[in-house]
Amino acid sequence: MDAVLEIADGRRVRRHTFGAMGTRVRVIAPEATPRARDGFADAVAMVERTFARLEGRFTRFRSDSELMAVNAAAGRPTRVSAEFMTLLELSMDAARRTGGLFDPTVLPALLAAGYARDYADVAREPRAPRPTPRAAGRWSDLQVDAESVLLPEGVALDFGGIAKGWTADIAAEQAAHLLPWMIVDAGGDLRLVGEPPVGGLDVGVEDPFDPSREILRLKLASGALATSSVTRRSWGPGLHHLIDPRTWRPAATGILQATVWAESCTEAEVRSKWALLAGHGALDEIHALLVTDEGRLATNLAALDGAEVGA
Amino acid sequence: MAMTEPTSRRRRISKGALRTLAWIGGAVGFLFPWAALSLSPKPAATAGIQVLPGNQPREIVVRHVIRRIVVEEPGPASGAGVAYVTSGGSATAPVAAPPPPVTTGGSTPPP
Repeated sequence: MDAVLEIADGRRVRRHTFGAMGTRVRVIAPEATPRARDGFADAVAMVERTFARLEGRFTRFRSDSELMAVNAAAGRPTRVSAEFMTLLELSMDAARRTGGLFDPTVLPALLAAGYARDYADVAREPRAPRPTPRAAGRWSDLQVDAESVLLPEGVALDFGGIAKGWTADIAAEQAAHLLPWMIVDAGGDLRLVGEPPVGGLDVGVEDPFDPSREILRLKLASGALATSSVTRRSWGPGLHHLIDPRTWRPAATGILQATVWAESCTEAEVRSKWALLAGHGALDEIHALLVTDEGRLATNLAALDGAEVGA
Repeated sequence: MAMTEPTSRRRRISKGALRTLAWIGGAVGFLFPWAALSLSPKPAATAGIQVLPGNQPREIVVRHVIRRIVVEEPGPASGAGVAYVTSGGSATAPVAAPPPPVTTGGSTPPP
C-alpha cells in the first residue's frame, strides 16, 4: 500500500506499508528528487525481502522457523545459523548490560499470561491466564559457543521486539544507498538512514490511551526511536506482552510507555524495554520519554528552539 | 408424692419445620455470594487499563489529556539525534502543521 504525503515545509514523502513479523512495517522516503523516485521501488523490495527472510527465521508462530527448531531441541546442543547467532549474542549482551531486565527466555511466562497464539487471535478471543510457571532457567543458563546453543530443558527463546528492531536496522542499512534518506518503521520501532532535511523529520509519539492522538512531536535527525508500551498488545486487565523477568508476570512498574532514542533500532528497542521496567530512574541514564500511569509525561530530551514546555 | 419437680419437656420442632429451615438456610448460603458480588461497587466503565502490581489488580487513572510535561536534566549520554517540539493535540496550542508521516507508540498491529 503506497501513499504520498505532504510533511512540514511543504515537502512530500512516499510511504509504503506492508505487514510482517506480526506488525505494520513502513518505508518512508522523499518523493521529490529523481533519484528518490527511482530508488524507492528497489528499496521497498529490498526491505520486504529482508523482513520476510528474518521473520521466517525468528517467528514463534510458524513451526518451521529456526527459533521453533531451537526451542524444540532444548536439552541438547543445536547448531544455529550465523544470523541466529548474531541476534542471540545481541540479546545476551543486552541481558548482561541490563542486569537481566532484558531477558530473551521469558517465553513460558508470556505463554502462561495468554499470548500463546498470533496476537490477532489473542485480541479476538482472549483466554484466561494460567498460573505463572517457575522458570526452568534464565538467559544466564544458556550455553552458547561459536556455532551452537544449548538451552536447558524447559527454557525457550523468544526474541520479540529486538528481532523487529534488528531487522529494521539491517533493512535500512542495506537499502540506504538507494535514497537520500529513508525511515524503516517496524510497528513504531524506526530507523533513519541517510541525510534527512535540516532540523530532522517529524515523528509523533502516540498517546498510550488513544493511539490516534499524538502527545508530543519529535524531530528525528539521526539514529533510531523505539517505544515499549503496556497498553499495546494487551488482552485484559493487567495482561500484556511485556513480561517483567523479576516477577515473570506482565510488568507493572508505574510506567505505561517508554520512547527511547539510540543510534540503532536494536539498541533503542533494548533501552525502551529496560526503561519501562526500570521506571522513572531510567531518565538518569538514557534519553527517553516516559508516560506514567497517572498520565504524566517526563522526558530529558532537549527541546527545539521555540518548543513550549508544560501546560 | 414425688420429691422432685417434674422436668419440663422441651418443645420439639416438627420434621417439616426443620426441613423448611434447612431449605431456607441452604438457599441463603447459595445466594449470598451472588448478592454480595452484585451489590458491591464496580469500576467505572472506561477505556482504561488495569495493571497488576504483584497479584493485586489496580485501576489506572485514565487521563486522556496529557498536559503536564516534566523536562528533566539531560542524561549523561549527550548528542541524541532527536529533540521534541509540541504540536496540535498535545500539551500546548495547536500548530498548523501536517500530521507526521510516522509515529511511535509500541508494537502496532499489521494493516
